[in-house]
Amino acid sequence: MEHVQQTFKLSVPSDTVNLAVIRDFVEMAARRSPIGDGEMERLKIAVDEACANVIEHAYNNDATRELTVHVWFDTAQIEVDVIDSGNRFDPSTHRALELKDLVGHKGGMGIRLMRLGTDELEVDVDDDGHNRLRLIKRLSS
Amino acid sequence: MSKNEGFKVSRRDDGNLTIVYPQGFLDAHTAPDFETELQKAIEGGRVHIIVNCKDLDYISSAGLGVFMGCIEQVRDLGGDIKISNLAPKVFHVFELLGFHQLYDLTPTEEDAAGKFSA
Repeated sequence: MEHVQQTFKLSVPSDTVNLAVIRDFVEMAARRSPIGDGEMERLKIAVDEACANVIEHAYNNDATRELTVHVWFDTAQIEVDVIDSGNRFDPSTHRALELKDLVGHKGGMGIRLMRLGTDELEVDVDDDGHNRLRLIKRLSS
Repeated sequence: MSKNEGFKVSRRDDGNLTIVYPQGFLDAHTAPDFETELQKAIEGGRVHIIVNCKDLDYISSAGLGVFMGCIEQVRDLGGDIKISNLAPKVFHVFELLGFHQLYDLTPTEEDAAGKFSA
């Protein structure tokens, strides 16, 4: 099997207007991997949700802050890191509610879409002390 | 650049039905525009609503949250929101989250209208 490893990086102001830029970036980068169309769509939504959470919860919609997205892949998996320096937000501590329990509420589905679009979510702090959410999608062989 | 380049929403009233047409990319940035259009209809007493998604290319939880946030209000007023013409990749997101258990998702606008008169 061909051995391929590639890394892509994007930094944008923490503004929801840039969610479209982030989605396009993730697609452009991940298209170089062997990811399928369905997996691509689910991964893109998961990253969108992760970044929207950073903008809303980590940065309280402060568009002067910076949000960084790294996409890395090899033949086995894609990893997308969402990096911020705002308030710590750990999606793994949030319970994904059933849809019927969310009637009347606008929020609550983002965490679910992040989990449905990935195989693993990891939260840690990078070498520079920034919050890092890693979304891991294993590639079907 | 316009505020919400990549998303538009329009509305048409037909008898007691209101048909809302979201177009483009519905995410955390554009969801407020969609919500405003739906709320304008509801506040005007238009609660038999079809959201025709034929030109909707993308939806994230913020867009889905607009449906969830106002469905109770609409049903309490004796109406409903029905969703039609979903493109396969957008339909997949609704299905993943189980929207088909709470909403009528129909292939066409006419099918959705038929559900109101049934």
